[in-house]
Amino acid sequence: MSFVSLRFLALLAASLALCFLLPKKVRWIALLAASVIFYAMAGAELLVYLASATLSTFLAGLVIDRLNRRRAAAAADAKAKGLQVTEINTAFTRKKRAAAAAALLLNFGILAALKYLDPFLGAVEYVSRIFGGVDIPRFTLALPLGISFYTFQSASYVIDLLREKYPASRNILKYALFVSYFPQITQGPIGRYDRLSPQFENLPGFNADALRNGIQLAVWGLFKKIVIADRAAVIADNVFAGYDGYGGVIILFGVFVYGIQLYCDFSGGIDMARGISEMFGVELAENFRRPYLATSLADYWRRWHITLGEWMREYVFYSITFSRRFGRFSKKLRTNLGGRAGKVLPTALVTFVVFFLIGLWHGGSSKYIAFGLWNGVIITFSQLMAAPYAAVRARLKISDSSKLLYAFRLLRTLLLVTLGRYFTRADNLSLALGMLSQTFAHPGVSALSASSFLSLGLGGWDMGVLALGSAVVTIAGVYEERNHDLRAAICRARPVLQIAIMLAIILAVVFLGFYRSGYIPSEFIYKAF
Amino acid sequence: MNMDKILEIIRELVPGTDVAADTLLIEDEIIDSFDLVALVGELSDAFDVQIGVESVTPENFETPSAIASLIERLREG
Repeated sequence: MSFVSLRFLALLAASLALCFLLPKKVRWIALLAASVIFYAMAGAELLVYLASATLSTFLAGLVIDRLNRRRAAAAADAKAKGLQVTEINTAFTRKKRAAAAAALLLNFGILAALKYLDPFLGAVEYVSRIFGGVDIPRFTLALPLGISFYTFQSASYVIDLLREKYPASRNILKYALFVSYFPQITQGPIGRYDRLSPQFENLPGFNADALRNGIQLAVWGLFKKIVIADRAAVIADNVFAGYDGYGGVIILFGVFVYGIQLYCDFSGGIDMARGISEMFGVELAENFRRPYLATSLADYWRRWHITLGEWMREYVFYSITFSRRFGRFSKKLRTNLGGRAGKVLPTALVTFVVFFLIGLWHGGSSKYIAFGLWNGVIITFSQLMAAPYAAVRARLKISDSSKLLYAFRLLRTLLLVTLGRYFTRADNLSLALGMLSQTFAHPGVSALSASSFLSLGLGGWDMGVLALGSAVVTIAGVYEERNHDLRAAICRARPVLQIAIMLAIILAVVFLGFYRSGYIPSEFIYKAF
Repeated sequence: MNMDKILEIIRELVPGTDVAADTLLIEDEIIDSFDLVALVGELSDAFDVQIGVESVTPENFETPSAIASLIERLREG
């Protein structure tokens, strides 16, 4: 069920009313009921996947929690007798890891089978054809709504328990709400149990400020989605559908506009999720922090899809880098290579692995793997080259606070991010490479005119709305980048101004969005992941 | 005893630095994030302890003394 539908509005209104009417202790039941209905309306048969993820991670959590308590008791006992606890810890860690591994293998196994089996068979078929082999039978399984999001979310719970971060949930229904919470299950943000669970326990009931703020944020997200993203989609779709008819500059422009579409679609959807959740009094994690104002690709990834980046850092990067095996490997590299390379290379290699996995998270096809490698190679390279770059800047007497350097870094990052988008949006890797080749081999500058940009499917009026909408989002971003809180500023403004701003956004959504001619609302892009 | 070993590891990791028990390792930029990763590996091996992600905080690695307290806590379970 889409956020942009009357059915969803009805579900939201009913669950809000129920949540406000119920006593505090049982308000969470209204959210669980709404989550189950929301999910079932996307396909009741797919509930079985969600239920299996919930049940398996809940049970694994109970087992790990029991082992945690037994370990603590055994360690306290040994300490009282003046004995070392290292062996006790090691023995329990082994058992805990086995329980965690069983749950993680099951859930990531299901995710892999549904998401990666088809591309894997495609790759096998490709190789088989080269050697004159037979065709491999292919089948596509329906991908359950939000599977990547809820698998990562429930995996974080299991790993946190393994690390003894908090005690396990004792109530499977409350835990099921954490896994299936409807505002975030479609496209995130990827939540954490220790952050969400206390909020579900203490739902505040009716709160006029929370309701108003939530509606404001949700409408802002809707504005980004249907006024900007859905317009930008027209240009992006045209350029990607028939790139060979365009010169390189137009292709680059089309991919840049796709970047606008993706940002406004994904961050707009997240704003809606966060706004809807805020109406119930539940604050979801921030998922975007003005990514297009990043000064490096690594900085961009700290601002884009933040909850995925944090998940990868906490559960993949740290798990590898702080393991004893990696410690030994790292020491060997340091000793053998020496210098800065020996120091940086071990961590850079793990960074590379993380970006490979981020690419794979988006899908199993070669274009996503290429996208991960693109980001991994650049970020790894820049880690290795940080010291030589600094030396060159010092020699050229370029201050680190130079505005020109800042502008250069912004543009360079924007270009690198845009080039990466060729991989994710093109239908396959060979088309992406073809587009890249066309971009640089045949820029077509001499044939450029205003009509070149107006032949991409959007007329002058819609192009103007797209530019103006993007400018509004950019100005809001720049304002916040200077350490101002835009939402707090609007809340502090006079009521007349607050109403005027809200009314302007609603009117824009209605007349520049829903009621523009030929408008067909599209699905959120990240829903597909 | 722990302290001598910790100081030896840090001196090996960042040659040419004068480190004492109360040296501010992170604030005075004696070690950076790359050194921290290596330091965790060296300490785990040297003291046979598992230094988990949750223990890698600025407070626990602020000074060699703070590291010694961390090792002690981990050994005690």
